[in-house]
Amino acid sequence: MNKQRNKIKIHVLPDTLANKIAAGEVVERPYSVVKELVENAIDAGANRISIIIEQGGKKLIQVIDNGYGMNGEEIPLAFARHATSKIKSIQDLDQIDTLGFRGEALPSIASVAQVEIKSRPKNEHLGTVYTLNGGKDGRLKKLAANVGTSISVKNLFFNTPARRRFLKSDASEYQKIMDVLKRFFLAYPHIHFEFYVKDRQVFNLKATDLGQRVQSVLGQTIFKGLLPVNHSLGGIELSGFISRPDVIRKSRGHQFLFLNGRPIQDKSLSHAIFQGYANLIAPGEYPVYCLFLEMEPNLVDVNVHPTKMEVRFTNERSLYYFFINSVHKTLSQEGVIPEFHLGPSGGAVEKTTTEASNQPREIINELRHRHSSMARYAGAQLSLTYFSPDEESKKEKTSPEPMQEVPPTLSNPAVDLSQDHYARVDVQFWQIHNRYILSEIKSGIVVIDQHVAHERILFERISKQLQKGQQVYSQKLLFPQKITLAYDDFMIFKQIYEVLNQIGFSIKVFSGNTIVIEAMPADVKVGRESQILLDIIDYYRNEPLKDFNHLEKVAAAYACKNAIKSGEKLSQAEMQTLIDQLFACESPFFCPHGRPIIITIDLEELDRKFKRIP
Amino acid sequence: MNFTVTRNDFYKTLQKVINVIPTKTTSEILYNVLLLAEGNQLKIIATDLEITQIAWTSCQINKEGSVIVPGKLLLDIIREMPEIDLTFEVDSNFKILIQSSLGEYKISGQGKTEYPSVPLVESDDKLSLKNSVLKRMIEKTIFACSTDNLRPALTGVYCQILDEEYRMVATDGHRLVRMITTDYSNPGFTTDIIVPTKALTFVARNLPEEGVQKIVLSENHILFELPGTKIYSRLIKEPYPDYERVIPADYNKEMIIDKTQFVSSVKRVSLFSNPMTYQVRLHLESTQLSIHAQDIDFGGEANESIPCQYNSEALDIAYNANYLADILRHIDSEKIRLMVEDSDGPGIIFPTEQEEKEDILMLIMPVRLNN
Ligand SMILES: Nc1ncnc2c1ncn2[C@@H]1O[C@H](COP(=O)(O)OP(=O)(O)OP(=O)(O)O)[C@@H](O)[C@H]1O
Ligand SMILES: [Mg+2]
Repeated sequence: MNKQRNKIKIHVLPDTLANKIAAGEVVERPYSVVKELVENAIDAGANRISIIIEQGGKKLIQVIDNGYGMNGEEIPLAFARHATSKIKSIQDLDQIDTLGFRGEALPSIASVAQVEIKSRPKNEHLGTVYTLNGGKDGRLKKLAANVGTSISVKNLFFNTPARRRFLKSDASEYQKIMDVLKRFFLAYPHIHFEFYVKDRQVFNLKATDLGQRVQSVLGQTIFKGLLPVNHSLGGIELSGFISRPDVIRKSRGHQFLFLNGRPIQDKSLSHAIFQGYANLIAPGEYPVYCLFLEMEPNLVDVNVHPTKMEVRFTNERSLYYFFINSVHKTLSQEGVIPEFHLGPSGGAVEKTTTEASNQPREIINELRHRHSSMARYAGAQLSLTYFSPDEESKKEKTSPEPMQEVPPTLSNPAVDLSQDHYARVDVQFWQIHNRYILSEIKSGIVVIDQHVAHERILFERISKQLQKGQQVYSQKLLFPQKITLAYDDFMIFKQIYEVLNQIGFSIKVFSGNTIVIEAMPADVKVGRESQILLDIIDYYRNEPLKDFNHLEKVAAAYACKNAIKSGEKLSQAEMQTLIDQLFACESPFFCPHGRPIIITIDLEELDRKFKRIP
Repeated sequence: MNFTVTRNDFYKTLQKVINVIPTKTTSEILYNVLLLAEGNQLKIIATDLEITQIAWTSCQINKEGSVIVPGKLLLDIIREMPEIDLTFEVDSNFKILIQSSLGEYKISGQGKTEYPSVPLVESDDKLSLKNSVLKRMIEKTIFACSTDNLRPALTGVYCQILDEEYRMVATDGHRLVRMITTDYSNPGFTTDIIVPTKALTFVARNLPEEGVQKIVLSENHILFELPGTKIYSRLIKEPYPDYERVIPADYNKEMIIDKTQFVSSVKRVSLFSNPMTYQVRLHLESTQLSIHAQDIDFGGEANESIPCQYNSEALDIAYNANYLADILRHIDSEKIRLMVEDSDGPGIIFPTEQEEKEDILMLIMPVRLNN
């Protein structure tokens, strides 16, 4: 992506050309300023860019680059409308290989803020500083300066109080700016980026390759769940990373798509990626991806929308299938999507473990409660919605997907984005022998072991608390429980009590073998308080958990002993909560000991047993 | 045995005792009710061994006798009938024939020898309480009882008969209610007992609004004599924890807040709390209270602020939203007073205005936040 920028002089575009450019509001909120300024720095060929903001960008946005700079004549011109050095003729509009091309950004920004720009081209000794107040009173001065450009934008919308009032809190403006910056960070790994909030350095990303950059921007954990993508088709190239189907998010926040280095949003392509996962991902869940699409600039029109985030492809349809296939191939090469095959016979139970993993997301999707957290006060008079940080994804659910009419093809046999995912309201559960939860899915029946399901939920929670230091809730007891332990129990207690105190217990040794429990984890089931500690000690002593380390063993003991027992009656709502929580787990299909939590029984299997089919 | 009774009298009497029948038991016989025809009365008795309830109605007894019948089945049959006369005829094999103008029904019963006998509660220890007072005290306390059968004392309500006052206390170790009434006259003795929650639930259900309640206490039982019914219950013979010791005497942090606003805010915000811990966090400031909840697993989060009066420096304190909402719901006054010492200690909740001759105190233990 290291393009050689051929600099031409800044000039004002003729009206005929200027009118062909998608016009509109360029500066909407602080993040739009950041976006335009960083684009300019990148277009100027910089390999080191610093961004500084204060008060969510409302007080200050400053971008410093080491690009080719501007001289004293060019600077005032750069602030004239439709002045650009990036295109000259109508033909150039079809060949845009820079991020900017409209000559709109600087004048629009300058008109609503107090701007100071300092710049020096490489071949000059002195730099120039130029200040503007609301786009007026331009003042030019010569002074010593570094090569490159530093532009600071202060008090955005100071002269349009109505718009200033529309700005959100510092934190949410900051979030938007972060979202924009992340895209640049990912798209330009060879550029050294620094990002400061006031004096605090938030990012210092040295020039590197894409893999390293993705790792530092999205984090080690996500990176580990990513698969590399590399596919091409007739001059179109798609590269980057997509996540394994178990690394999913609840919003689009971690989905990045770039076209020739420009971050874009494209509904149809993101739908294609989703399709590529076949039924491994449910609607409302979003795979993580960071994909780079490279193609000849003339195959695509970026001059569609003033924010340049939307583009129009010449061959939309074949691109759509190219995306599905690329994602699908990547996943199946990695063995993530098992080949579909029908065994000759075999009892349902033998087949179950592999079957459960055949269609895991499908099962999750069918059983998960759509408004899980609302169910608890079902009768309440509330009209609150369970807000997701991502407005867009919500909208998409109600309006039909534009690509819905695409017929399924052989290359994606399992594509099934049927509307009934949205339509279904509640799932019915049955509890049998107060031990198993039964429910219906499209392909047959699922059976969930209530005890091991809950055990898995607790185990993951405790492990997270122990390993990642996640928040621990501990309920204080009104009457601290004094317990005198048997000697051998006390020995075990001594081994584990520090860990117990980390997961929400608060236990002190009183004297000798007598201990006092002052608090316990807030999720200890009501009515189990007096037994839980002794149960944990017993379990720890008796269970041969060979592969487990000390922490995991305590977590497993707590999980097993605090979990819903087999034999406990559960209400519909309790079953639903249990299942929702199970499916929020990282590995909902197996308990900490490796026993299955969920098995499925195929309708076909039943049909065979009842001799409906041979 | 042979008697004639109107459908409504029979249905009402049966309905009074029907809930005593356990939903699950290994002793099959307890699924039955005992019908006893004596003098000019029909008595219906149900028991789960811990609680026994007798209800009666007057009717025309043609031949005295007794039989035991599956209670729920009997109720189902009678429920569907219009208001007509029913004649029950039981033969020596305990086959029951029910006759009415609509037709006849046959069911089989059993002899009463198998059925547990009604406990004998004979004692001079008798206590009188206004029905309205007792009902109110039961309603305000039982919600806080424990269901932990390993700590039986906490599964009942602790009742103290003192010189000048009568108290009821309930706790599950996370929250506590203490209710005192002085609208009572001491019966000439003082004592304390623990009454199972379930018994009190039945009592409250059968208590009329008016009148005075007579309670008889014996060594192991308590008997409530109510209009048309008697409820016997075994007492829980366990030491009750020293609850007075854990109620702090004085506090210097105090918040006064509108109850309705507080309850509804807690309820709304708690929708976003984690469904296993139900934790909500309160942030107290001099003029406003902020309530916050977050469910990391499902990405939900909520924040609300409501006005309050608070007399100290800002404080964060977290509670189980269900416990908190339970407590608030049981307070009648418009405003409540919450007193705390720090984020680790108990919170004490009072109505700002106590009813006459009454003193309610509720206590809630916080959820501690550590990392
Ligand atoms: N950081 C910079 N370094 C060097 N030249 C710059 C820089 N920023 C802007 N310029 C010059 O100023 C011109 C005007 O910038 P401006 O952002 O207003 O328009 P543009 O980038 O050409 O198009 P667009 O409106 O699409 O961003 C650019 O064409 C470029 O020549
Ligand atoms: Mg630009």
